Amino acid sequence: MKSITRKYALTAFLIVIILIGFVVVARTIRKQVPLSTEQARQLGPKDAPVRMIVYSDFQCPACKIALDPLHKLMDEFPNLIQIGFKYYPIERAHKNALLAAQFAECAGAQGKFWAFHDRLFSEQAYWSAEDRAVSIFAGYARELDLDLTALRDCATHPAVIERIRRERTEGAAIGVRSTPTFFIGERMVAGGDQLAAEGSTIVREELKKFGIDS
Amino acid sequence: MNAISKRFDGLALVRILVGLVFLYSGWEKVATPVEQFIAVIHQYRLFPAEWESVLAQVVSWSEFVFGSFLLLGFMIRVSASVIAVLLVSFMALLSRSSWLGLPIAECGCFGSLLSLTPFQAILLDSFLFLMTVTVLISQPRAASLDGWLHR
Repeated sequence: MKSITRKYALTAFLIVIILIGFVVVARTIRKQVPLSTEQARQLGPKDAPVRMIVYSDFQCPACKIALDPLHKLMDEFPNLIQIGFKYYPIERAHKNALLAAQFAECAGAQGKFWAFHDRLFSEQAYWSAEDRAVSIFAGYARELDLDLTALRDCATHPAVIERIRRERTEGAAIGVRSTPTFFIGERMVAGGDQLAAEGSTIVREELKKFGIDS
Repeated sequence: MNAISKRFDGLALVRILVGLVFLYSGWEKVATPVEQFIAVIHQYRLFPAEWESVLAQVVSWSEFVFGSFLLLGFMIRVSASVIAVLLVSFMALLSRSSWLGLPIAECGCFGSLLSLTPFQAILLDSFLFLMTVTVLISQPRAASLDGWLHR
């Protein structure tokens, strides 16, 4: 009886150690968080000490809600944070998410990514379930004085779709599983509630690395 | 005799399948930063914030470890019991969220592999629960570490 108990204890120990080993290796080889994005998708001063990356989906309601704590954080630390936007469209659940990202990316090519970004989020409930999202987005583009022909050509270009999907794949490789996911420096923050609760503390820790007390 | 061994092989397959599902599900959670699973738990609006972090660690490691145990056929009764308890808890949580109409579009159960609505997740969990109870009752020892250790 004692012998079988010992056998079980030893086997359990070995299996758990092997499992922990796999997890440690997986966490170690996880890709580094890329702290830069296309210039058009950056907000805030270029020389800001704190770099923040946002993986977001224009059709995700939680991403819209998270804009509030995000703006509060930027107001709390003016000129100290630079935000970079990365696409993470959840195509299986959000039918217009990829299309919205395509239009936003191409609005960015004309220097109006953030204006289009804000418009998409403020009107999210309106276009999310629409089958005619293309014409709605074209309407937003017209109101923002974008060159519509160039925008359409750009938005349908396979390279644009590939770039968006590549960012999503890259996000998944560094552990993004839901939207919005933020990286403040290397620290991951998942969702608006976590950002509201921990964002300031993490930014302060990042600033301390640069000798800035805030 | 042949029929009996075939039945046992089939049950072992059920055990392996449930084990694989939980091993994968646990792996998706333990190999990614815990913040992701904390956010998943948070959307169910049931636990105090200070519990969410502990729960995220306990649930993800339980899935990973006991899923592996079940796959290997190690401590089958204990592993199947833990997994059955997890499944009942998941179903209760998902049912509560549907009942309250919480805005949860995706259950957050399987990381990036499967995107399920709470209703789809309840169906899958019910099916997995039946399979787990079958394993718990029959405790199939074919191709298992338990069988090997008791030789």
